[in-house]
Amino acid sequence: MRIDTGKITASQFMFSVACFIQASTLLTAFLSPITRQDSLIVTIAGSLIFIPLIWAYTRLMQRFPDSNLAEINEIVFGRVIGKTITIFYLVFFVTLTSLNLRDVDDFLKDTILIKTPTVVILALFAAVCAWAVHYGIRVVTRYSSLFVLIALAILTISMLFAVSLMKMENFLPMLDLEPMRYLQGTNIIMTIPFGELVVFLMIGPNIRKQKKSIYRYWMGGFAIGAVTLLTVVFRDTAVLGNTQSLFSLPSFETYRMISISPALSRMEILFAVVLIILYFFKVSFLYYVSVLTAAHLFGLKTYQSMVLTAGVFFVIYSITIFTSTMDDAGFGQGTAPIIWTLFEYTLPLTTLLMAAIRKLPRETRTS
Amino acid sequence: MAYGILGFLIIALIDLPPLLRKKQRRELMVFCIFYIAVFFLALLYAADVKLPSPAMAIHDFMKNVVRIYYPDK
Repeated sequence: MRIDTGKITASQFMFSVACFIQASTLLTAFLSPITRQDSLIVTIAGSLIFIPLIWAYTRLMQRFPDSNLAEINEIVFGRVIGKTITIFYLVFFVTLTSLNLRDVDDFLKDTILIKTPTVVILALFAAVCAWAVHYGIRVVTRYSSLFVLIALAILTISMLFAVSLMKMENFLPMLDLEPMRYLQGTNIIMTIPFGELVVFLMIGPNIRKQKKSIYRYWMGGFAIGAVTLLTVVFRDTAVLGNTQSLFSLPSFETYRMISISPALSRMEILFAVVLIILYFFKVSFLYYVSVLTAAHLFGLKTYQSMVLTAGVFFVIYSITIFTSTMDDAGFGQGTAPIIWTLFEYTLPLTTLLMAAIRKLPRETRTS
Repeated sequence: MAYGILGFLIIALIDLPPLLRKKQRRELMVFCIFYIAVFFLALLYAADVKLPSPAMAIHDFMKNVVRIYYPDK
């Protein structure tokens, strides 16, 4: 039974993937203290190593074109184990939504709305997202292409204006850190911005039939997102060098340093605008996927009645999830890259392998 | 606290009537359980009760029990 019957085009899907990755550019702050001037190398490595995972997600979508991740789990692992796995996925999606909501609050509290209470920022942001989520996948993804274009335009402008601040010696010394740091950095890039794309497996049946060419759209969205991320890491390293590890928001500092003329400075407002737009998309998408998974798990016909209450839950969860930014960084750098691999690599690959061994789905093959 | 209670009343006024009108019993039951649980969670938060964090529990479990984690830099 389809809870949300709304359909999106394959290109909307592609731009949604791109927008989702672009929204994670703030999260490069997890990377910079670990790999410093070599962040670009691990970002390239993480992007290349992640391509087989994109193939695995595509194969799952192609094998089960009419099923979302929760339904695939039940088909492949059976009702009890499948539902148990889906419960774990629900916790994962809810945690991701709350973590991203918290990132919005951290950014706004540090930069623009310094004296505004956290609960006010989060409640208002969650309310706007809830409005989009209420109308389903079509509304959540409708403006993704516009958001991607705005993000690319602002990134291009920032690159042009930051050229005079860039120093190529900021990339030196190269490959001078302990090997463990490269492993950790690559793992962070693969799990935090890229691996979170696993959420798109929940909307597989909502994409208008493009069974054979869906890989092209997956890769197109991934390429746009990855190139944006690489450009951001390149620009921040070229401008800030080793000092980027000292800032909680390296990209924001880069924009702060740009000054075209005495009358035209304070470019960081552009970063703030684009980041809020992108985070609106990412949080709305994660919010939608979370309530959809919960509705599927409880066997509901609609998810709309859960949207507002879930929003309150996300707000409370995002406030109480960490007691300090140090806890947040410790979790993002130390534990999340390891735990998230279970949901982003291990389970999807195991599902694909099991489906291949059991020759699933049987109904499709016989018809 | 008063704003919180007002917020929950608004949520009930928005979400309950369609569920009652369409007689969606399962949806109504799930909504009520979830609504009450979140309401009590919000009350605890408003009363400054320290709520446990599942993410930090996982972090501590990985760090102290499983001992698989990346050390702090």
